[in-house]
Amino acid sequence: MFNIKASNLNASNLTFQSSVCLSIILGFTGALIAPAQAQTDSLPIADVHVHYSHDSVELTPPERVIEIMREANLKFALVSSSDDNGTQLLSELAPDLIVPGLRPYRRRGETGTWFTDPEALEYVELLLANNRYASIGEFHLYGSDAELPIPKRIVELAEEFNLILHAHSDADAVERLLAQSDSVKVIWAHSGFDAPEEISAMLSKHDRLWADLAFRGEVGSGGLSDAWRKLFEDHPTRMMLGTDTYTPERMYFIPDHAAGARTWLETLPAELAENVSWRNGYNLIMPVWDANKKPATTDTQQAMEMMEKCEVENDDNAVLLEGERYKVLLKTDAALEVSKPGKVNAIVCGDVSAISEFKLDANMPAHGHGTNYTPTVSITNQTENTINYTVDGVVLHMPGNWQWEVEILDSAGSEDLEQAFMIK
Amino acid sequence: MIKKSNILISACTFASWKFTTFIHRPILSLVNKSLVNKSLVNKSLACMFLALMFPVLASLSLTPQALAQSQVEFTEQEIDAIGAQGPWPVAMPHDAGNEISGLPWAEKLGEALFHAPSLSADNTVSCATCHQSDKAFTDKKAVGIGLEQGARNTQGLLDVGLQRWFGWDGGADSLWAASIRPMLNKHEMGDDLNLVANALRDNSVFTAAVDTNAFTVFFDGKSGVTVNDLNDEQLVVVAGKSIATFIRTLHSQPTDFDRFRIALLDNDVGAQSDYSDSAKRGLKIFVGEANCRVCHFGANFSNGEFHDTGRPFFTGVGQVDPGRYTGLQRVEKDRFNLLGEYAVGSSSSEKLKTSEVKLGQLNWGQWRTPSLRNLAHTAPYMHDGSLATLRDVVDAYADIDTDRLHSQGESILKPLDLTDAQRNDLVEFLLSLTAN
Repeated sequence: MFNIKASNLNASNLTFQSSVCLSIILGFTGALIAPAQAQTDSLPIADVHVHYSHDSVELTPPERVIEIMREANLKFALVSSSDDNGTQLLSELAPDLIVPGLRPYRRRGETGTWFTDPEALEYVELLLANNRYASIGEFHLYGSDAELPIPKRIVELAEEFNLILHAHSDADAVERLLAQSDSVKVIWAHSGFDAPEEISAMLSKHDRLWADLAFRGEVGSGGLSDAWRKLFEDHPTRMMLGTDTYTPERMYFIPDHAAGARTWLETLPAELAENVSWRNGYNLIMPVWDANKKPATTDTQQAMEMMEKCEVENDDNAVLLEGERYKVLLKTDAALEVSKPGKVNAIVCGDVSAISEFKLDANMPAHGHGTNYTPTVSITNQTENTINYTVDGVVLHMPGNWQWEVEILDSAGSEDLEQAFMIK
Repeated sequence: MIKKSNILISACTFASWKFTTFIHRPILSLVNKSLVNKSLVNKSLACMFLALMFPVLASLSLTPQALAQSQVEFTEQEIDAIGAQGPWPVAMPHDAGNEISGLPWAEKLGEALFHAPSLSADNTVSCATCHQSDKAFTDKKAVGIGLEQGARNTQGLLDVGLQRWFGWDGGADSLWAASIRPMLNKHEMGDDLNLVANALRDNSVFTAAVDTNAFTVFFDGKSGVTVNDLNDEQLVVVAGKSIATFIRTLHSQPTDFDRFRIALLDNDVGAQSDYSDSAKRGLKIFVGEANCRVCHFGANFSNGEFHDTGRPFFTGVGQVDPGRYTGLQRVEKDRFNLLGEYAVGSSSSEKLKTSEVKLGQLNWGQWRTPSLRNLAHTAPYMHDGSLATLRDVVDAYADIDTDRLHSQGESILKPLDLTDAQRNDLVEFLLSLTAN
């Protein structure tokens, strides 16, 4: 269109110089009007669909996974794993890169049972008590199963813990999940394997819905179709990318997936390409993760203040362990003997209302092992700022240097305390 | 529905009619062909024929084979499916882009080069090192060992010319391109083009063959071209095309299954009895409950395409072999592919597969469906030779780990509730796909 205009003006006896200037102006204007195409060679990718499950952990060390992700130039990865161990390993290794999601599966193979399995819910609640997450999922859930008690509780937990739901679901289940809350946001895994028009309809209908394109090989294959392009244009802030590393081998596909995505992203206007490649995921997930990953400052301060008030009587038969939030006094009625089951009384002082679990174990650091038995822990007394635990069945099966190891799980995370001792 | 013809034959057998082989097979064949036809008129005529012939037939004798009535019967649907697994042998298609394919001199030259270790970097490895003729052109090893140990099982070469893509990953789009690949692969024979070319220049059989046959291909039909006129790449292409011409001649013979299939289609009960009941039961599972035929389809028992069957594909710590995904990338970059300058005379329809095939996420971890013919000679199995026996293969599919399959992946793959006896039957059937 611009060429035609320029040609017409030339025909009106404008000087050559004028026409050149005009061409430059028009060219510049054109650049303003026509969006710049994306330069995607180094475009960062937010990969919101990564699993590092138990079998993957066995076959690929976490360091290698991080290497693969950096090689792919990921801005961040939303990782959820069956079990959660893989997610935690990656998160510890690269907190700048990994955003943890909580998958309600302890092993692969629970995709069709978790929503009726009370132990799956217990597993989720336990992990929420101990770790920080940005999302619950990716879970598999279809149709009216979303109305079952366990999925309903998952929605409640998402509200309570400020978590995004990552649902591998049909549109029906997604709508049922959204209807259960006024605030919960949903990432629709694989965009429900629906057609672009149906995805678009869902996104138009639900402003708390986003969608990922994991395992959607047809997107961009042989060029981006008009239907997908329209979806991105109509919903420029809602679509995201994901690899879906559902088998251990697929972890190695992350760079190829990213490179493949860049080839079709480059056909989009630059800003839209960036939105889909990373910004949409970033804008949705990072604020949630930033809020969740910080320790509960208020809780921690309160705990520390309460601990300061603790007055625990120590004596020669007791050992006092002092942490940031708790003091723990370990005391035995009789001296512990090698290989004989014994009982330890533990008095925990601080903001004990936040405590969800107390664990006591013993370890021989020089031997690289601990005890062979798991002692029984029971509460014998509780006041405003103390809990008395009895730990029964402690068997120190070798003479030598031991170390008490206390782990207190609370709403702020966990507090670990250690104290060396010797038994002859 | 059990075919009515079989019911009638069973009744005949029960009555102990005694035919001679010479008489009863043609007669029964005639009757059964009528019964196969769905025309009621024909069926009625056939029944009338049987009734009228009863006194005559009763005076004749049946062979002991026909007397041994099989306990395995096939439905019309199953017979249709079994029929689609043949006939065998089939005509070998042209090797696209290979203008010397089928020429006797090229076959002879190809055979010589196939056995020439001088084409490898250290003069120790030839095509025949891994593709051994007395082992159905495999090596019986889990993974091939050329100059170095590879990562994939050596595939047999019998009937290889029937494939659409070549290699476990389909990394070559023609037999001649697949024949060039080992010569330029550092794990197999070396990756030095010049070294191979010089070896060819020093190979008297090669030079004589090329000079004698006035090789014209690279010079727009100009005659009188000798081996000295060809550059390194052109020489290797001639060698690859010659080797492919030889390999294309490697056929397997008809098998017990093929004979049974003909007998079944002809309703030749006597001939059907030569096939064991165990193999028949296995065949029923193959075309029925297990649905193996969906991928192992056609006379060559392969649909020629690629599938993720949930097999692991790690090749070492931190290393994977993603199969078709890299195969497709290789085809696209291969200067010897059907779209390149060395593909001579290939039609636009032959080029279509290469120009139109698309690389996608689903290709990650896919492997070409292998033919099931000659299985008795080609253990171990799968792309990495990870399964030692056919029973292992059957078990792997019957007890498939669905966690390795994406919910939107190969949905036909699911665990099969097969008994031990059924699994053995499947193995028996698979063994019947090997020529004696």
